Amino acid sequence: MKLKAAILFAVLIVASACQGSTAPQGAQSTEADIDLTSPVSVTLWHTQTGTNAKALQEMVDKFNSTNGKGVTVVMEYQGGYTQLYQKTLGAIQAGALPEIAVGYESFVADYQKADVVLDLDPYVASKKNGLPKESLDDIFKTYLDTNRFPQFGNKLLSFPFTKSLLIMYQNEDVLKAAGQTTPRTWDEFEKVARAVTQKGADGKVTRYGWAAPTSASTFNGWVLSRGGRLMSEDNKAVAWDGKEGIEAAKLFQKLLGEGVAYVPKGFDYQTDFGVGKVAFVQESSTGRPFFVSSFPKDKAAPSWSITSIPQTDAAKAKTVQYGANIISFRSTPEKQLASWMFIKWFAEGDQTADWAIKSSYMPVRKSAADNASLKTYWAKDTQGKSAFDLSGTAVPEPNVRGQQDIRTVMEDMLVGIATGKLADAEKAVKDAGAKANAILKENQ
Amino acid sequence: MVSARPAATPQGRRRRTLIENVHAWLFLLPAIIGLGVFEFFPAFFAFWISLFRWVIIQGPFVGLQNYADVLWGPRSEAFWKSLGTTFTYVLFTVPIEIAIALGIAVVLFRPLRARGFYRTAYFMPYITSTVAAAIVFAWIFNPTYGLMNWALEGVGLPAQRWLDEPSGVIELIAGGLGLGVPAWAAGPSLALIGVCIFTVWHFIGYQVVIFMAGLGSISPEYYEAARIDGATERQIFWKITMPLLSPTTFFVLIIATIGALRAFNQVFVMTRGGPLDTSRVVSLEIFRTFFQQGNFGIGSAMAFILVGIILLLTFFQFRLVGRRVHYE
Repeated sequence: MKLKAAILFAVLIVASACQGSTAPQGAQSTEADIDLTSPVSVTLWHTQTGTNAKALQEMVDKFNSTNGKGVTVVMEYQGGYTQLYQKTLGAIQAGALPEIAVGYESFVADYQKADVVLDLDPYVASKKNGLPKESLDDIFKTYLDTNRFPQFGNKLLSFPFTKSLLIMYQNEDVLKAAGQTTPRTWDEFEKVARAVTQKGADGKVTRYGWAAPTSASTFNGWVLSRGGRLMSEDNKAVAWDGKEGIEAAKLFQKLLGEGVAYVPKGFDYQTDFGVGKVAFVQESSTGRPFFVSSFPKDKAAPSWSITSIPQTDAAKAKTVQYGANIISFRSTPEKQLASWMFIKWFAEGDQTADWAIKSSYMPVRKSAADNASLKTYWAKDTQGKSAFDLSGTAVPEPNVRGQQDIRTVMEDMLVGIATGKLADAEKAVKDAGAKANAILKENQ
Repeated sequence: MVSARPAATPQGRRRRTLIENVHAWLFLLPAIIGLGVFEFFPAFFAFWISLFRWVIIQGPFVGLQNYADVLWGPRSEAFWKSLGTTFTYVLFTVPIEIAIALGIAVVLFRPLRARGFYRTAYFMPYITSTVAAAIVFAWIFNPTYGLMNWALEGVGLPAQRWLDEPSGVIELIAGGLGLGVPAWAAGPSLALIGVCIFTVWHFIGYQVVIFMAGLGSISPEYYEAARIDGATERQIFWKITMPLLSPTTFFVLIIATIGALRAFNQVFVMTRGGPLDTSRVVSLEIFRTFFQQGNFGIGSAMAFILVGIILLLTFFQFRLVGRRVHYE
């Protein structure tokens, strides 16, 4: 009897120890596998305005009326991304977070410092509510990779939502008039940009080759397209301050100095592009409708196309991925599941195609290429299809804490070069890299 | 008709005093609640935050370490640089505002046709939303489409980058003359000067009104006596108007200095602290620390240091300038 009791006691201890060691995994998997038995309402903080907000509302209404589980998503506009981020920081302090919000990767990294972001991995893997493997594989890997956070155990803390990529807009009329063709490499780009630049009798530039913004994301694209990396393997140091970054900064400086390039102010490059005052603009693929709307109304629209930004090796083409993601905050198991149901639904084939048509963002699934509605749409928006075909080349930007500050450092570097305050481009890149590494160290 | 009241007993007097006190407190209660909730509690809580390592979430208590970090630790470079920019901003706005506002007030105080129109016109900028007006000024300073460059080019001067220009104004002028200046003599950036121009335009209306009220309080007999004694207008201005207006000037100086030290809206809208941080005043540095870096502990410490600096400066203004104020 004593032996039986001892064995039973030992078994209980081992069982309880095992239970303890697997509790978090088991608990999360249970939460992801629950059923919704009563209506659930969740709030979505977003930043969309105008026609995009209307399109998003239509899709949310559709989800609310068709999900069959009593889930209601309530949209709340929170201003721009920066305002949304600031409000979320306040909401974290107040314990009054919404269930869902859109945001960039750097936001997620900050929010998760407070351990408020829902790990989506158990939901993706859930047999009852998750995504089948073939469905998950259909989403562009690059769009998923950016939502995994190395600083937080490589967890999937957000999901693709409004995706786009850095591409090059080229005015075909300008190229044709100058007898030039699409540049594929950076060397070709330099020559073509110089060749299309025109100056008037007074020496003033009347047509630029390149509208070159002082944007951190664009600089990242220049580095990636030259075969460079943005971060070190261990994510503890930046890597854009290597030779690729220096080459990019030197070309930027050289073409600005020659009057071949200019730094645009606001969105004036869209108008300049439409009237043939500039041949090349490297910008987000989402800008397409804005370019079109700024084309002159009193004469024929220019002939224009979308192509990859110049590359060092076209066979290994890379560009930078833009766009925000969607985040679910930890709440009750029911609200978490309801949030996930909306996130999953929004990324499904029909919805991602619908959203791409209405908003000009990129569909997140490869299978979108076969979607009938999108095919019809792309027959008119051929530039949109060109951008979609480049989706596989888009590389996510770093999603480590401190990235927001690092972006400021990079943009200051570009402004310094553009304004002549930083005359030595190589030193400017190196100094900016050192500052960025100090920020990373502070945020480790 | 007033009825005679019976003589109050001590008990009755106490009761009436009590009721009066209760009434007084009840009348004060809404203001106390309002001030408590929206002024005192946030200020106290901000001070509380400044005593902790608080990056997104509350961390350990660190005492005055955040203050040390800001004043001479890892945050000191950015803080002192922004404080220097703030003082430059104060120097390039407050004296100019006061001089222009005083001049306008003196002119408008004289008999003048359509004086009411001019008074309204000068006050209009002040009642215009700072943010909306700053957006308009950002357009005026736009290097491509802005009115400023159109005007400059109209008189044969080169166009400028204005709010995008990190170079100092002295450096730019010297450069235009083919001269070089050392970095320390470059002067404030053209971007900061652009913000200063807006600030002066925006705030002089308020100061004109204050100066006019001050001018109205000077007894005309002084002017009459001076004119009988043969004093010139210049002498009257310097010997009578200025001394007797000194309490008003002192008030405007204090208010304008405090306002300039706390400037945020116009800088945020026009330059966001750039280019290259050349217009990053302390309030923008605090904002960046709070809302870009999520470092609430350091941000709160910076805010309290700024409050301390404002108090100290105001104290010295009272001690040094206050002695020169003449009261009638």
